[in-house]
Amino acid sequence: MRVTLSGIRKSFGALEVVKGLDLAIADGEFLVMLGPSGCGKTTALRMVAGLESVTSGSILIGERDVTNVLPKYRDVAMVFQSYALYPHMTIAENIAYPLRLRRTPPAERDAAVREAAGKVHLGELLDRYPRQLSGGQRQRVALARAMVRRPSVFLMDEPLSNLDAKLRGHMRSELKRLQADVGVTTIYVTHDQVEAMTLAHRVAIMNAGVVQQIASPREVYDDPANLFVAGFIGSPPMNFLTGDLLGGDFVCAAGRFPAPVAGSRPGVTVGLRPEDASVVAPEAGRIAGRVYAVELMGDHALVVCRCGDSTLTVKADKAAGYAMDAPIGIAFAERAAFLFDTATGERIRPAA
Amino acid sequence: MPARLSEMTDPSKEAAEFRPTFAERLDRQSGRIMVLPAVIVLLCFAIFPLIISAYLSLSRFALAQGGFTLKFIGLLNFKKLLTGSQQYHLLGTFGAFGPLQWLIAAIAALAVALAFGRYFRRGATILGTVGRLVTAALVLALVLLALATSAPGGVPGTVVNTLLYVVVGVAVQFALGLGLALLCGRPIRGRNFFRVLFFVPLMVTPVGIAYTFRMLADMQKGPFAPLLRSFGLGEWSWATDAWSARLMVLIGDTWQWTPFIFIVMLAAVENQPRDQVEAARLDGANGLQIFRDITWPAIAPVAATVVLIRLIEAFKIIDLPNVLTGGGPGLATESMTLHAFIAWRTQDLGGSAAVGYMLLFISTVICVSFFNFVVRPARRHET
Amino acid sequence: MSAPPGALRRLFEPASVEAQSPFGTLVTYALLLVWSLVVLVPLYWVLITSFKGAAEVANGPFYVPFLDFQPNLDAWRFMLVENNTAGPYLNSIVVALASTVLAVLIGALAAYALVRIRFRVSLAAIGLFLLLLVLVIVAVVALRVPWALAVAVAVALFLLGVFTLVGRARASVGNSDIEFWIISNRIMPPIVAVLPIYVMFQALHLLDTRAALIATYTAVNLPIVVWLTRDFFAGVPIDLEESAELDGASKFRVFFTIALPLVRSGLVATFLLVLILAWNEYLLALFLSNANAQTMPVLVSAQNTTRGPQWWNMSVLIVVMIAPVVVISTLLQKHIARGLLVGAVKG
Repeated sequence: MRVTLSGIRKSFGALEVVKGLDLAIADGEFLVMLGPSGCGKTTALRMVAGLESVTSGSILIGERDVTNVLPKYRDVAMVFQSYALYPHMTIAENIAYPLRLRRTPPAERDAAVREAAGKVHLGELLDRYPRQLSGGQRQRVALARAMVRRPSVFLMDEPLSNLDAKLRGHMRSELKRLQADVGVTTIYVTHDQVEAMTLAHRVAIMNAGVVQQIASPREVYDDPANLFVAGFIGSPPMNFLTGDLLGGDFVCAAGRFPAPVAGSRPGVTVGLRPEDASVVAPEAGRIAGRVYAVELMGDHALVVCRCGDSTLTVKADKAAGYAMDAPIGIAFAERAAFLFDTATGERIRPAA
Repeated sequence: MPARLSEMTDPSKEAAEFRPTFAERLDRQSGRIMVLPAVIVLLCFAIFPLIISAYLSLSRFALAQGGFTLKFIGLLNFKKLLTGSQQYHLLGTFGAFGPLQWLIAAIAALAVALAFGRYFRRGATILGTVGRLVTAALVLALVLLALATSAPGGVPGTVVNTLLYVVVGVAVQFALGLGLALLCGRPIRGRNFFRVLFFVPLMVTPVGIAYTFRMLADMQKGPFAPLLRSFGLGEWSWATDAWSARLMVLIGDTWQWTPFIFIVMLAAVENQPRDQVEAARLDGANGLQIFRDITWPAIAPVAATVVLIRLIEAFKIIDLPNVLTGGGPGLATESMTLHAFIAWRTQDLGGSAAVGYMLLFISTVICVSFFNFVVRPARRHET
Repeated sequence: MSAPPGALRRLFEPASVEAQSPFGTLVTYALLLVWSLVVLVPLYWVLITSFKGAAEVANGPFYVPFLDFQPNLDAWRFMLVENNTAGPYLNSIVVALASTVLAVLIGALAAYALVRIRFRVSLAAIGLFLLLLVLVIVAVVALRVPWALAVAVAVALFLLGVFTLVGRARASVGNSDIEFWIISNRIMPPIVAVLPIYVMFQALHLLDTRAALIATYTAVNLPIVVWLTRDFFAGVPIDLEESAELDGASKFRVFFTIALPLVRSGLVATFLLVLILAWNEYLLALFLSNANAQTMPVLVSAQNTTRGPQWWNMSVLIVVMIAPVVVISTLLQKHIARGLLVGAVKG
């Protein structure tokens, strides 16, 4: 089912947490809303669920306007961060609860519960209580309960963040597979960019109540719309140098190098991903600096450099051995540098 | 990208779309529907009676043919109680002020003045000033009343009796309850036994307590009779002396209510921060210092609240004086609620309602003041 | 001071960090035992007196059954078989149970709604309502206006007012105000309300019926239920209820299938506490019942005037009256105390 949000605003008293949200989510799409805590993503999700009222704007599920419809009539299922399993019901009862509310005949209900439980490999645990299950198993129960009634839309609010790192990776792939199999439109809220990049068909990156960019994971990485997206996506995060554009050259305290954009303008920020740069001899790089620290990460190393008054992180080979304060240069391709307007944060694109 | 699961038709989904909106409308009102019974019950049994009672207190009630008549008489009922023929009953008989009474009155006035001085120095609001003025006026009036009626030649009325039960009763119960809680909070065996045993009196029917204590205090056949005879008190009767009769009521009340303070304070004592106590012990504090510096600040908020709850209930006292002493000798043990009950029994509904309203006024002002000036400051460190 | 200094020190110093000194332990036990006696002696005396007869009491005091007097069941036989004690006893049970069930149900519903659903009630509407209520009462009682007419006019005025005047006034009260109002009813001394309630039941010809007592007790205990259960409900993770709502449950359904089962132990605590309060209640029963609906506390208190101090018979009544509460409070002390603590500790 399509989900359309137009001009959604939400205020708590004088505080506006969602400021004009427009989203069109296609049928069967997996959309991830990504952003730092307090950016309004959870509030937006709860408005789609109907758990939060909408200050202005409208929400459509399919063709139906559900803006002022109570949650139970919206036909959406939600997976909570805490899983929200009913502690006084067995796993089977938990999964069957939505069907019981719909007065599904017992035989049909049992079959549906078994099918849903089977999909998430919970078949043997149906008679246990939630407290007897591990975190990963509870997560599966929550998923099964959301699936069992075949809702129009799945809503997921940081469903993996209570799991330990290893289990999270595992559940991530299972979740992706499950959504593809079931084909139900899914809105997924997270602050974890890895989840966003791996799960999403499209990512909506939010900050301070405003969507910064909606695009495929590849696109938000390769072609960030603004400074916020560029800084938020990527690990380790993008390096930034502030300076000015002078006749096609970028000038800052750390040095001067040709930029992919022609012309002159004051107040420009250059973004450079650590993985797009390399450490070279002092005179061979575009920028000169000194080694501040080297961090070995296992398969690679990160070289932290002081260049002028900025600190840049550059990805290097794991065998790289640099002494502290050793003079170095940083090399990168011209098109690897992203230019942004320092004041507005907007991307400055090369003229086509 | 529809897949197998979503292709299966779901009858309930269609039902949801075509359901009449009546169910949904009802759903939206569910909050109001949930609160409504409580509001109706309270309207019928609290607000409505309160208004009728106010009207009753301003009327004269008389039985008439086939019913009754109510005549509006303004504040006459209050006038009769405060300055008229019933003054001795409600307020008591005033004695002459001696030096001691003047001294206590002066101290009370000074304390009120100091409190006001401090309040104005910190910045005052109109509402806060008015509230404090009401509290101060009532407290001073009650202190003066208590002094005047307990002075030589004076006889306390039901207001002072009620105050005695409230102030002395609650103070004694708090001291005993806290003491027992501190004892029971020590690392000893059998704590649970004492906890259960000490809790029991709270649950015993007050009427039963009253008779039991009458039996115990029987001067001829009670269990303590031989003991009293050996002190040469065999012929003496507590029930004929005003102060010993009041003491009996207080003893019964204390027996019943000490457990309440005890059980709550015990929980507070057990919840006190252990690491702070241990840190203080390492710093070399002795038991008394630990109580003063660690335990008391930790339990003070609970103590203030528990006293407030006890105050609220203490003002309502009737069972014990009515059954234990019948309010006597004279009116020595009559509480305000009992006063109102007796007025009702003699068909003086107006007077009864007026006494009830004055009790409502006194208990509300005192309890609200206690909340504002004691409980709130005590809880200000809590999140 | 014949003891060597070492032994003396041992007496006053704790043997280990977890224990206290032997002397301290001794004092603690002594004090606790003294209070245990204070608690037990009255109960013990009532119990043994119920097995005495007129002779044993008159020639007393006797302290130990079989040792200094022969216990007999005469008083028990007299009170339970020949006297109608069963009627008031049944009244007490029915009234206490029914009013407690009602109070817990109504109170828990209200508490839940106040915790989970936001209310805004216009202050102007409340003011108008109270004003009209006062006017109706004055009109009916003082001016002898027929009550049906007065109520009809008031309802019309109220609706008119709500649709015109109230919309303009912004001031409104929220959940915490409603909650405070409900709970503050407990401050009101029952004597203030009982006179009109008496008149009301008289007009309805319900005086001296169980129904009147049940309704009144429900109202009196409602504030306590709201006060206690609101905290239990606030402790239920809201995710669970939101999830159930998304799963298709109505608010009532959420209340009965999710919230209530989760606060079960808290409800038990509240139930027991309110049950005992209703069982012990005296003042309201004194006003509202005399023969048919008489409860145990009223029956017991009436003994004095009808028979004089026949302690042995009285003791039987007291024992049967307090036995259930003593048993309940001993066996279920933890649960009842939990209710008290929630109420007292949070304020």
